[in-house]
Amino acid sequence: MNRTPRSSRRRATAALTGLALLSSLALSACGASPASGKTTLTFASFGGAYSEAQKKAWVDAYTKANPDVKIVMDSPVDQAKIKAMVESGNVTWDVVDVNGDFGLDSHKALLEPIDCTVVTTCDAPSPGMTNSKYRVAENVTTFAVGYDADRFETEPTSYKDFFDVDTYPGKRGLWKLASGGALELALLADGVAPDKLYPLDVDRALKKLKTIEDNIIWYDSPPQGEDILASGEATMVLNFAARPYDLATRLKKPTKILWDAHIDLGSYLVVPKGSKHADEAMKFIAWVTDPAHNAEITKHYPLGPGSAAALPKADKSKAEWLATSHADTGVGQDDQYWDQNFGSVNDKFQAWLTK
Amino acid sequence: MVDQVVLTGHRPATSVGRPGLRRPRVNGWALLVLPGLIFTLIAFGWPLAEVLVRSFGGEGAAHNYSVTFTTPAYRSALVSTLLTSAAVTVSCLVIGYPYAYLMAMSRRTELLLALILLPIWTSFLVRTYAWQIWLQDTGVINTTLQKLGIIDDPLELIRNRLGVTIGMTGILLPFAILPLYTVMRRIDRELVRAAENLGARPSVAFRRVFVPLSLPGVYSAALLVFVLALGFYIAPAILGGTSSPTLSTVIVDKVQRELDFHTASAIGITLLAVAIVVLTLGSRVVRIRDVFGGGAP
Repeated sequence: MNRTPRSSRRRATAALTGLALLSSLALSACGASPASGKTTLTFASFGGAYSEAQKKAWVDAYTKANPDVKIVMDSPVDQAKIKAMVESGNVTWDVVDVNGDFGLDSHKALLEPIDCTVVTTCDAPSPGMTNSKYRVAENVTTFAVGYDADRFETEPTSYKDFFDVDTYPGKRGLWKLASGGALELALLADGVAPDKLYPLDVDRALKKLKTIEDNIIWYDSPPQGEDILASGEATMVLNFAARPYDLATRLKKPTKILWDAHIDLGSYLVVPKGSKHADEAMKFIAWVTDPAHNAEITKHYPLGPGSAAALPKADKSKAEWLATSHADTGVGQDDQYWDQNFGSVNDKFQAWLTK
Repeated sequence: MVDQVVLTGHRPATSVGRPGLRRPRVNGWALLVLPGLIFTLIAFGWPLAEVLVRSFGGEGAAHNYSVTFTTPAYRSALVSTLLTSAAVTVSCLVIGYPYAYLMAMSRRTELLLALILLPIWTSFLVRTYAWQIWLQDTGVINTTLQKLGIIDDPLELIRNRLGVTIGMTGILLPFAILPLYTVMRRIDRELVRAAENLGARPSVAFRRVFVPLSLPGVYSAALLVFVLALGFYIAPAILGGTSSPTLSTVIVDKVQRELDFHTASAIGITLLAVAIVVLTLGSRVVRIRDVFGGGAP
């Protein structure tokens, strides 16, 4: 997922992005000169509250422990930008936070291999996560159905209720992105066994979606998905779990999540090919994914740790909101499948939507 | 012709039938044009050339350029882009024409001008979100109408072409009003008065004298708005639904999701070609340089 909950903040932070880019350029220029004596790493992430959480969880602690390293954060991440940087030979990002659909073997031309003599969790990501030669799992997020508890006489109890608009009236929000979870949810609700989910039976999923098509609001980005639930336009929305969490905790809305099925996906760390500080980047990645530090993120944002050994250290007070606390009902999104099929599935999906 | 104008700084003499006899002399001041020219080449020419080159790469030009027409999703996006642009053009003209007329006739021209120019300084993004707040099912318009008992179910004002058209009209309206006003301002009002003196009713004088004289402005405004509307991304993304995809959205998907720069470039060039065709056809009824604020006839 390129536009994770956080990437979509790009719009809100559009103005800042230019500024951040400029300053990161200026700073990385300084970092390159040996006279400064400091290495400057540029860590690109998705911005907003998510980047803020990463800063509190890892960046601040790392630079405190390593005074000779300075970390500049940049946002938003755009896979196309990584490609453009590598192709033009002007790589300004050293560590990049990417989604499950990036960092597989098909992107080997764009990435440095992870140095598993430095990074210790290459073989031990959290369940459902897929590390590769070029990436390490950093955290776990999920697509889950959030609902407005005040809008129903009896509260829904199952993700299958998403498709029951008679008992649970109101519109349903789904992301109009092929890999945004809608197809997976439809197939699960139609009775497909989780282990038989992939390869997706797209026609069957579309047929299931058609049963409630008049009630679906297809949103364009996760923040928009959050908006339609907040404004009451929709009563149930499939979105990144961080979105209903935001509504419930920050905006104090009666928002809850149906945890009995959710589609998990990871955020991974990669190093663009040609990074001038690849060695230093590996050390930072090792710190972040180290089970001793990896669960720190759970204190600041509703994401599960990406390293299996860090799972027990997740913040107990946030447990309800973490996909990793509901691992038994989670279905891992198949990154390999989406990597190979996004184009064709998306074309079909978009054509169906337009009808 | 154009080169000569640029290099000599004055219009070439009317050398009908004998071009080339007068060789333009390069004036020293003409060198001032160089920074602008170089900037344009670097900032527009070079990237465009890159896009063009990329559009031939990957699986080849034939594949890249045919997908727009052979893939149902892209084909409908192309059609939908054209329809949306046409709808925006019509609504901009319908709203813009009377407003421009008012501007041309009023003594408060500056005030009316400020009213349409001020919003330009507010971000497109913010204004588009503002439209969302007005148009959505639980938005200002629908809740007000529901409270007044005029409607029961919310009107579908958003996530369809209507929403996109409303939002884009709000943004592109100044680009219709300005060329209309430029032309209307120069219409000799004595002509309308003369028609009235000769017995035409005001409505007839307006229709048979003023309107025909203002047509160059209408063509200019239509051309400008239509071409600008072709490439809009924000408004269709936020206010549009699944029934009105645009090519700009398809391009973003291609670039950001599939990292397929080649096909994305080809679709971009296709969109550019559409704009060029429209401008070429338009140039038969209106001089292109007049569209962008040049002298009116």
